[in-house]
Amino acid sequence: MDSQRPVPMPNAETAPFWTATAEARLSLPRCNDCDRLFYPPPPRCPHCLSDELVWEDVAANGKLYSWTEIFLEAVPGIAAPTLLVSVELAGQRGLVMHMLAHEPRVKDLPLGSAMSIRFGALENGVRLPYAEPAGDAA
Amino acid sequence: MTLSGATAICGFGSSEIVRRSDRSITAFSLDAALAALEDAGIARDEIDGFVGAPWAPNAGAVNADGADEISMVAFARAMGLKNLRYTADLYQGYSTDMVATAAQALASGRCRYVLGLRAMYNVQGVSYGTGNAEPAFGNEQFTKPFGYKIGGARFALRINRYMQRFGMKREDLYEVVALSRRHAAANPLAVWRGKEVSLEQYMDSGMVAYPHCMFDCDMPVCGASAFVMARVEDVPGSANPAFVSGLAGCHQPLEVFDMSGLKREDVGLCQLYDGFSSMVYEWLENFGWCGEGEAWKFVRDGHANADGRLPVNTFGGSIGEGRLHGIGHLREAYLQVTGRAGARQAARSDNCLVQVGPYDTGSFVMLSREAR
Repeated sequence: MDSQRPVPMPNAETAPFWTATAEARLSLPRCNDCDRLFYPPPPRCPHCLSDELVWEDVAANGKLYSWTEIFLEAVPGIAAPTLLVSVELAGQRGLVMHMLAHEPRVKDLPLGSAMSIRFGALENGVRLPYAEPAGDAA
Repeated sequence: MTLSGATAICGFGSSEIVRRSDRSITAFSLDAALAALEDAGIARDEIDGFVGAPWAPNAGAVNADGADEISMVAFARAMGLKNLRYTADLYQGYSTDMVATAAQALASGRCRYVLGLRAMYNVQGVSYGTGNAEPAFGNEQFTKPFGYKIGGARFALRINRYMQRFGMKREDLYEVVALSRRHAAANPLAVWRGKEVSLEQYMDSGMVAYPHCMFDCDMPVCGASAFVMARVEDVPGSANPAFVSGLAGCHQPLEVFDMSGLKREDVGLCQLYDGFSSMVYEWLENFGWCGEGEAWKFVRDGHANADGRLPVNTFGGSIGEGRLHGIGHLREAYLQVTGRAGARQAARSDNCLVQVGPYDTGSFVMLSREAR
């Protein structure tokens, strides 16, 4: 049975991201002119407004930026409490991705701890990213 | 021509504020608007401008006109407004944006008396703040599957990082809640009037999104407030004007001082948006009342108390009064500046800064007793 979890509905700008996650890859658009990576994927570079965005696979790891545990029914299909983490992508200062984590030990880690981004089961045609402490078995 | 001191809020009115009601948002809105007209000494048919901010911002909102939102069209019909020459519904705007919009419409001569309205409603039988299983379209692709906007999770992420960086604890965050409840005790409209919260109650209460517990969140309510604005020369003689001396958006926040010609030291008190308790720290630091990572000590040490160095949220804020999404902050600034805050009247109230909205949106208004 398919999950109740809200399903991302891609558009032209975001489809390459979801195509990549379905193949367990993290892919982000880079501005050819400014050499910056972006998430979520924008239609144009928000800095120089170039539309020369090139998708590239990036290392699916980073550092723990922050976390919260949500005690409301935050995500249908996921039992509360829900652990939401922010991961700053490796080598990309200020590029922060928000995703769930399933390993409660994240709450005991200091900011800056190494995190891995992994990809969940294929459901409704999509694999959603999640985070876990680096070094944990996939 | 400058906008500073060109216009004034010349009356304010409020409905009652209650947790639930079987009266409609339209009824609450009329209560507020009629009270504002009476306070300003303006007749209904003199109103020729309207500015609203109708959005119901909670995750469980039904976003239905006359249910948890009220549009200009629905309100004008209900109020029998027939002379409108300028109208604006600022869909994701705040009370401070309403003032800026009204000031510009008035100063440019589009209209003479603007009615501003903000109403909030807690719909029965609907979960106010939880997620739903609908597909995630548009920007929600990257937020909704992760609960990023549920229970203020995005603000919880922000304050948890702050706490870890600056050594702050939940016991310190409690001080914002305690301050809000203390100040609410002197606000007859406040849903939490006379209900203080002990540190023990706070630490034992249900979490919403760590580190925010139930008490750190403003309470969904049914209620509305409204105001009348005019050019200074059109303020009725019987009215109590608060002059709009400064305006700014969050990209250029210091313009609120530049426009008004005021310095930080001239500001006697602040009304700072507190949809979640941790939000009050942002602008205490960004405007330099304290250094980065120090606002929590400023509050803990009593400097934001009613008798402190810089009284903050003298009406109890949204956390003490109920979730009117910032119109309560504007109302309190108006009452303080016009010397009509009763038992809450601050010692220095010539100039009151109002900030409404989260750190990454929102805007600022300076109200002053003297035209500047």
